[in-house]
Amino acid sequence: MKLFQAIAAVALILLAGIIAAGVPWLRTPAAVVVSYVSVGIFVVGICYRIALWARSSVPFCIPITCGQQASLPGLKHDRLDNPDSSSGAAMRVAMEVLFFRSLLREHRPETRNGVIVYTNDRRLWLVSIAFHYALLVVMLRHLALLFEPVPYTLAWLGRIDDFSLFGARLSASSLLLLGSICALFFRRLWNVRVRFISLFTDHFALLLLFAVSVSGELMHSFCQKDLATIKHFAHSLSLFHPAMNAVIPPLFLIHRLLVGALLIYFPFSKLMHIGGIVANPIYNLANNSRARMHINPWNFPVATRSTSPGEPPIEAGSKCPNR
Amino acid sequence: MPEPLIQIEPLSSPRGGCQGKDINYHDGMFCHPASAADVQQLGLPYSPAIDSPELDWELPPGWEQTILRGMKERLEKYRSFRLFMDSCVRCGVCMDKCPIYIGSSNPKNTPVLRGELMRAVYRYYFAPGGRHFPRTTRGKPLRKETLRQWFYYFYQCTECRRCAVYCPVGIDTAEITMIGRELLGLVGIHAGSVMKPAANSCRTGNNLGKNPDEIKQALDSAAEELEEITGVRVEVPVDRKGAEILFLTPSADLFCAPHRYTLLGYLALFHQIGLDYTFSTIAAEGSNPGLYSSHELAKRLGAPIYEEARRLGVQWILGGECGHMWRTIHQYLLTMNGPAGFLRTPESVLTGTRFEHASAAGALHICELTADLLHHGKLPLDASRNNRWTVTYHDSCHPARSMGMLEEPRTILRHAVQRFVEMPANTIRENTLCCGAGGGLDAEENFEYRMRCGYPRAMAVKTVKQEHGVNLLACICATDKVSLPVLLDYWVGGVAVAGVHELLGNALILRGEKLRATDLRGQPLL
Repeated sequence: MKLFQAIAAVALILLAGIIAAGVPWLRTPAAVVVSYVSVGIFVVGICYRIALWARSSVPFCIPITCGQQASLPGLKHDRLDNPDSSSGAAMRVAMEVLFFRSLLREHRPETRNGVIVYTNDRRLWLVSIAFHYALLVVMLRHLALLFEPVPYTLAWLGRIDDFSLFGARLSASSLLLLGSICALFFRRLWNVRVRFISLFTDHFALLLLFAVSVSGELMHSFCQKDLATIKHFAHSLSLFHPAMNAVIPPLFLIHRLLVGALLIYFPFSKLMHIGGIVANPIYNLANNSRARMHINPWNFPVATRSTSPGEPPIEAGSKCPNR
Repeated sequence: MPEPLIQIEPLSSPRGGCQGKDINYHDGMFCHPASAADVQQLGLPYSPAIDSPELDWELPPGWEQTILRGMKERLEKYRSFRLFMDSCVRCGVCMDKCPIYIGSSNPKNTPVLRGELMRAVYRYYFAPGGRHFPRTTRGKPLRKETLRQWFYYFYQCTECRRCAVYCPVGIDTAEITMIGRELLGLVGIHAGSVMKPAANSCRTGNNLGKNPDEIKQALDSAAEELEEITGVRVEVPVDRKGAEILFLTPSADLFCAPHRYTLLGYLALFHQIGLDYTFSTIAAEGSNPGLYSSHELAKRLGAPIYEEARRLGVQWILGGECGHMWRTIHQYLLTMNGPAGFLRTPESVLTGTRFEHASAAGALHICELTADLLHHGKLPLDASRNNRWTVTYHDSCHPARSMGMLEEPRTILRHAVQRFVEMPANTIRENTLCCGAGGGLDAEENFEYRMRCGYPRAMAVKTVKQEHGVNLLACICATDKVSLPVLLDYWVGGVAVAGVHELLGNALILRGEKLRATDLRGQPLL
């Protein structure tokens, strides 16, 4: 049910794209409006979310410790998984962001011969790393649309990323992206537990990303001849002087519309999960709460034993025969 | 070995969808509501529970607004809470890491869906478009049924933080559980197994509700017991002003078995190194039941520790073996009840070590002190006195995952026993599994829950029992010492539970001791 809703939602966006792409005079204005509106909502939405996170305080020092603490000189301190300084904690956050360290611990418990056996399982880590890094490369390569001449590093990235197969021009990163999206989607449907917990948003985000990357890959393969036009158009958008007379290919509008939907959806969805890592007090605080006092900004006085409203408390040294 | 009473189909597959309608309160799985007397002792709001199979509460008028106001306030007060409401990607990694899911196969008893109970309400009221598109955002309005589900599932999370180790976006479901329980508390819904020790703690300063004279008696009789076993008369100072150290330990150590053998171990150690310390009859508890209910209650119940330290004029605090107590002391005490400028950095007189990592809080774990003594070779030991045992070590959740104290207790065990083996790698250290009774769930009525939640831990013990003949599980937590003996009898059989300092006390050669005939349990030595 949730899956069909998600398919319908993505199909609807796709349909809107196809209709708009079919009307030649609508194509360019639609691309301009979609670009500005979606990027605007994306930027404002992200700032809004970050502001909300920043406004919330961190009252307690609650890092999760995954290694030996710094205590005695004779014991080897695990600096990476149990940092006792801010720089160590920053390092830990970096490891989470860049290498998905927590996901490396993934394992499967199974009952075998009456006991539970744990098997390491790195598949999800591999797929997630592939997905996120492929997405990063694809996004970096899009930057080339905004520069003329293309900076050396971006051009170099394009050269190693592109290859030809049976005459078609393909990009390794976008194929990897497509493959990892399929793998994640397959996992979400195949693994009964994950299917059980999935909501509309989980299917929708994956399907939308799938549509975006398919349309992007198609453009990459078949719209090379329009590259100059698209580049000119993208450049004009970035300068806030949209080239209204540009004749953009229909596929570009479809891709642009799907990306627009993704950008609009992004700030208000689980896709903002990076904040959960970077701003997260269980990772970004050092485990030094006994060495340095962590200040709670909204600390307030409370009724302690001697001022509690119930039965009067017992004083030190007194004999209390009543109970 | 006792017959398994519960049929467990571990890790079987769920059916249906996760946002199904009702839950059935399954007897044996949940904690009963608190009594009015306990809640009123603490001066907290109280809603009487209607005693029916489907537990129900007479809620105060306007309870929806109270909950929503409370949620809004906490979204601003706790960044962790807001982030954890926003960032779950439902990857499902946490599900088979949660001990109660492994032991029950109920997919709703997993970190992700426990959090989802709260997230559904969050999305409806606080996320953009939640109220207008509840079908796509999957937000749910707050209903009485929601609270019943919250009570059922938030009091089935032991706050062990195991899920947070694996979550790729760092969601700590213990935080969500703590906030969920706080919100329930605002409208007067509390669990009895939390409120009873909390009320006791508020009245007497310890969870068992023991009066000062009872504490004094318990300590005196422990000293006599130790004298019978070792022939050495030890002094147990109580409420002595001007001592260097305040020794803080869970009250269970004084009154329960097998905790009491650990107490004998402490007393022997303190005597041997000539520690200048005192017990307190008011701060006779470190384990803070407030933490299972609300941050405010945790702060209230934690206050006597520094108050007593100041009153007695001690210079630093030494803490005994206890899990939740060390979560509170390590991560909350200084922030909540500090600053503690009147204390100084803990220091070991015998070795000269200054424990800089405990400088501001002025509180040291006894395992840190002992490991340092052993590292410097200051304790004469005869490990053969523990030869009856093949020992494995259970990392108690909070000292492992909220503190990182992994090697100190192992150092002690390697010195004090001759046969020490580790359980499988995914069940120890930061991956340690819950005993099934943490987070205030150590009740009578939820026996089935405790057996199910502790099932993975029991299976890990069974593994090393089969492979190495392990017959003793060492741990450093008072809740463990209550719950694990029952759990291991139920699933494994023939494995006893002991505190690390009981084993140290067995091995420690006291000055002027007689030839020991028995260990600290009073059982003949091999």
